[in-house]
Amino acid sequence: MIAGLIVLFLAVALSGYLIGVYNGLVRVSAAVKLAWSNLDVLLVQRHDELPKLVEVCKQYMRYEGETLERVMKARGGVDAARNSGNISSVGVAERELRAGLSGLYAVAERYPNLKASDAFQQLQARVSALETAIADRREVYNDAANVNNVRIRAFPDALVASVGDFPPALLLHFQADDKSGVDMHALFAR
Amino acid sequence: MHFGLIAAGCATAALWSLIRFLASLRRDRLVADTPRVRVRSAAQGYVKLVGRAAPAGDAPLSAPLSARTCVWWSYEVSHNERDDSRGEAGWQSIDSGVSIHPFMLDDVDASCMVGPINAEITPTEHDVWYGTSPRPGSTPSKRRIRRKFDSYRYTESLLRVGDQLSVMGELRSRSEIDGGSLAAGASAHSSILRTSIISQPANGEPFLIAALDDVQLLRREKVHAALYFCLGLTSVVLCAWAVEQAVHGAGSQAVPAL
Repeated sequence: MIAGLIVLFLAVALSGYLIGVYNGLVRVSAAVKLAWSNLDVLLVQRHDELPKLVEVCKQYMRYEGETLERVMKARGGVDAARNSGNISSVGVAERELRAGLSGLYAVAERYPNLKASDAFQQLQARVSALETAIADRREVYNDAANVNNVRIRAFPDALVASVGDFPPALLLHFQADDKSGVDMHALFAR
Repeated sequence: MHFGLIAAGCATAALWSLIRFLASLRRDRLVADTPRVRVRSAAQGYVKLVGRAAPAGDAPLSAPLSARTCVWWSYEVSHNERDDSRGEAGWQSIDSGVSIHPFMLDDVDASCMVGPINAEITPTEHDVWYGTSPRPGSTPSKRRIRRKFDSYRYTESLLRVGDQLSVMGELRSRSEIDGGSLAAGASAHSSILRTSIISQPANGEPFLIAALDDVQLLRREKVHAALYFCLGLTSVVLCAWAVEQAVHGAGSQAVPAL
């Protein structure tokens, strides 16, 4: 009698636990998609803001077509990668765009009238704020992806994950170039 | 003994413990799986924020019993009537309250309002002390040990200004342009103000405010789950024992009749 009730209790507890594990896996998988959607919203917002910034720059920068072209091309690259849903491509395209924007801001230093322009200041602040928010949400996305990846590989979740469709999530890297060593010789040779 | 009643009671306890065990496991996973976000870039929805508590207005709140400064409080005053013939009657709550005033959560670079209504709060300070009047005449640091003639018990829980808090709840944000609405358009020098509030989730997820970090929160949920499991298992064993006693009792009573 006692043994029977204990076995029943343990069986119900184990069943509830396994259901909880499955639901937990569903939740972390959905969290990855949600984190990506939240990041994607900001990528779209920045996509919409960049032409305005480039237009304002064009009014003052007569001879910087290449710089502006690079930004617009990188913007198109991010949009294409985003639409394809390929996380790795987004990371590469995002690096290009960030490099292009850094170049644009550096060149803008040579144009005092542009820097003093209200429209430029406002758009630069807006794009910078979006960049910061995108960087923050990338962290959140990577956290969610990491939780998902650990869950589907760790015991006992891995057992439940093997019977369902729980693919690993790719991490999103923007700053790979920053990891390369700084060439101090080149820096001081300037 | 009414073994049937004991068995029913233990079965109820076992079922309750089982439900609480599974709920604790779910919360453990929720705490572990919800990524921490920053206020400045948090998306709307269920989030985990970490920051320091600050008053929402110019001045912090004052705790009702001890008058200590805080951002959130709860209190209870209980009275114990002594009856010479029957001894102590037990503590009866005569007054209680919980703060519903919002407070701020400051992380590194932004702030968020916290609406504590219906939150499950783990306070940083929890004091119990005694006195002789419905309102305490002493601070919690004194009178912690009850004297013979103390007939009032004061219980007060606080979240203090500057406490490091973890908050899990539903974040909602509203953006407006400094001095006008977002729809009215922004002038060149206007700035966009983002007001965020974290409150009770609409979808039934837990709304937690705790002066604990992630590791401590997780440990707490694991300990709760383990305790509920042990309680459930004990209740099942007791239930089975009571059922056996009830069956044997009924059998031994039936033998003389034969």
